[in-house]
Amino acid sequence: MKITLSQLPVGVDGTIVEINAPHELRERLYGMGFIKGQRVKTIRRAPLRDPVVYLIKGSEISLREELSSKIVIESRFFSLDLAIPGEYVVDSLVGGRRFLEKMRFIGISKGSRIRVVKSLSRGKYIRINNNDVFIPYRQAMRIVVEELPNE
Amino acid sequence: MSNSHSYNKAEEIGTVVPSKYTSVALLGNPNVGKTSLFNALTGARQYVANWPGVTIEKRVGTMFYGDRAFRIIDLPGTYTLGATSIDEKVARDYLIYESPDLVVVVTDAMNLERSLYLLLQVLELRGNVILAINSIDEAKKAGIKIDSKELSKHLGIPVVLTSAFTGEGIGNLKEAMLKISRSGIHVHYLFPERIEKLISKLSSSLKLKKELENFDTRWLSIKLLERDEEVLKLTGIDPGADYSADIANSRYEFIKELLKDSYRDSEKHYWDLNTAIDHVVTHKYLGILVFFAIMYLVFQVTYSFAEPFTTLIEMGFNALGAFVDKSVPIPWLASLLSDGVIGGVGAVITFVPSIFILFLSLGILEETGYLPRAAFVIDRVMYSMKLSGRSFMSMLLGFGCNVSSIMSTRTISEPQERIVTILVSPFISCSARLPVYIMISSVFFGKAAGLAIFSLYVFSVLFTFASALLFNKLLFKGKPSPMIMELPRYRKPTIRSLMLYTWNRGKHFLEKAGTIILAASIVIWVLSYFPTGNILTSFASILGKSLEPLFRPLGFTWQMVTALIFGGAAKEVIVSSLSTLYGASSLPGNPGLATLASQITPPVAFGFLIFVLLYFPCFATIAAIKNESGSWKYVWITVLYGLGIAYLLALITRLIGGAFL
Repeated sequence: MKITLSQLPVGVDGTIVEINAPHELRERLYGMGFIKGQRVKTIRRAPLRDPVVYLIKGSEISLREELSSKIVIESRFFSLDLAIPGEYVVDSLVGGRRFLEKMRFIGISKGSRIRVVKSLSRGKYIRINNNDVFIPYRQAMRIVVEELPNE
Repeated sequence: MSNSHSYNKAEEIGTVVPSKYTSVALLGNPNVGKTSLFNALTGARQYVANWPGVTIEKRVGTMFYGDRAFRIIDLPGTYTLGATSIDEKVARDYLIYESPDLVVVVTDAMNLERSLYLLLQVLELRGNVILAINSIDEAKKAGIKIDSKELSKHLGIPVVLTSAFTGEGIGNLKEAMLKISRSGIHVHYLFPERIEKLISKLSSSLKLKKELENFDTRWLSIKLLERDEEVLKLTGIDPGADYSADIANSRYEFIKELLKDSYRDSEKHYWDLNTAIDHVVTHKYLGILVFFAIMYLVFQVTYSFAEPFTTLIEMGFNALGAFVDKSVPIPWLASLLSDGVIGGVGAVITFVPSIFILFLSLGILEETGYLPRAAFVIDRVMYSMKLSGRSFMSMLLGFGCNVSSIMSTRTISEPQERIVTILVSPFISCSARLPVYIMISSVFFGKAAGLAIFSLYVFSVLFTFASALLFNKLLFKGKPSPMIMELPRYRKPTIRSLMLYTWNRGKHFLEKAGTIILAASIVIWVLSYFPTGNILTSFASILGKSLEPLFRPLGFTWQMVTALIFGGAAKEVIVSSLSTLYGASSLPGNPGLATLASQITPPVAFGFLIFVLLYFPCFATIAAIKNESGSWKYVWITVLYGLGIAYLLALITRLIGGAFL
């Protein structure tokens, strides 16, 4: 799916599709290796979430969300809040023990298959193990999923 | 060989090497070890100046090799030869208009692909280019294999593997420079055909323009296709579509092909230690803790490590002063020498150890690669003040000297963020204020002296931030500059580069102590000795006393007021003038300062320190503000704002302190 670089979860990589940054910044981005078709990986977030360090062509570059949200990438991995209805596999959960326990209670853990049934602005209705569950937006942000090809 | 030559002063470099030198520009991405390589080539035969018109640091050095003398210029680090930031523009303008005889493009062996991008841009522009692949020692350790012969064959230019850290390949680089300075090489690499067609089409129409005959039309055409604003203006031609993405892709394609046969990567286990350090240093909670711990450590080290040296120097100057006082028969001359010259300069020289240690600490933070991490950790905070981690780095430099802080704002590409950073920089507690803090604190706050000084630094930071917000609100309403910043891998700094870093900056303080401060000490001595020989009826006393009523609400004595006026020359002059005015050196507990201690209360003393922190900056800083902002308007804004707030806060400190004590 096409998402912005700012939406790429930590530890995940994607391929740059489009750079919509202003012209005067694009030149420098090219010089640092941000070009179409280039793979880029999210390394870590700053203590206050912004900026974020990305690994590109072997070097670590820090970008603010303001700019990274203008770079479009193609990635099989993204957080659940971005998912459209369809089939997904949970790749990882970002959070502490309490969050992980809560998710396990619903039946979500690494590797579980889920189906997004309905997408709302405040969260997602998903079907897991034949149960319908509502996942609020804030929790969905912390669930990294992988797209499954449509059968 | 470089060490066998004695150190030459800046002016001598020009005269020793008459017009026959070969000019060499060092160009490269930031953090590729360009400056270390520059140090390895030139040794101590270097000096730091400014680029004309702009105040980005310009390092120039001399190297002798073979039968030739080379003048090496270290250009600002840049990723492209665009003209969007001032750094890039300085580098590019130098290459285009000064046209050095040779260009050495310094790249990083650990990250060759990315750093070759700049090389290609240089090859598009000119010939006589040497490729230096630096940090080869690290690459070897990481198992990276680079075939320089193969690279050289494909590129058509000399390729040298170097390590500024171990010294490997430096000799080869010198040899390559000598060879090219004699022969010369010009190569072109070709873009894909569709782009080449566009280039040749544009070239032929550019060739018809007489006013452009000094330019390489091929280069102009490439820049036009990239829609480079300067070239668009220069040529007056608009090719329409923007091919910049296409051209960037072609360059990387070319690099990919180039590296296929000559570069072998390995599992990057090198990064593991790096990642581990970053995990701690940029961690959600630990990162902030580490950040503040390091900042605090720097100032503790500056304060306590320097103390034994400081005491030693104090003792030396006291003994010298006493000796001169006794052995010179003429009373006024004895007083001039012992109180004016030795007392005044001695009081400042005692702080040299602190200032060198401060610069050494900043040097370590910068050379190891921690500073960008600090900017990364703190960026969000700066962003809320419409600034960036970049301006944080400038501000951090301000702890050394406000002038260098203001000068370093050149790296901020957004003009508005630059102006705000320049305006608030004087409120960062520079190293010249530290002597004043130490002197007053040791008299008034005893064991709490360290705490008092630390709180002044904290206050300085908070005040700077608040002022940045205020100025942003009042003067501008735009967005902060985008922070595109590389986090370089950690490096072990070399002793030599640390020494050069510390010396080049600390020297500035020594020069000030030797010139401005000596002059100011003598002027102050004259003002305080004449016409009567008694300080209480001297010119200085008259000047201070006539202004004193203005400062009565703050509780300042006329000596303090006089010292503040002279502080305009340089903040550390406050120390020497106070000691001259109170007729003693700055030794804690001496009779002169005891007089001061009996005259004012600790809250007044603290108010005085806050006043010293905020009131008008020294003349050098004022000149820098004028130069960098390009307008006296901004000088007035920051000076009047500083004076007003300084007065207000000193008053409040006295009132609040007075109520509690």
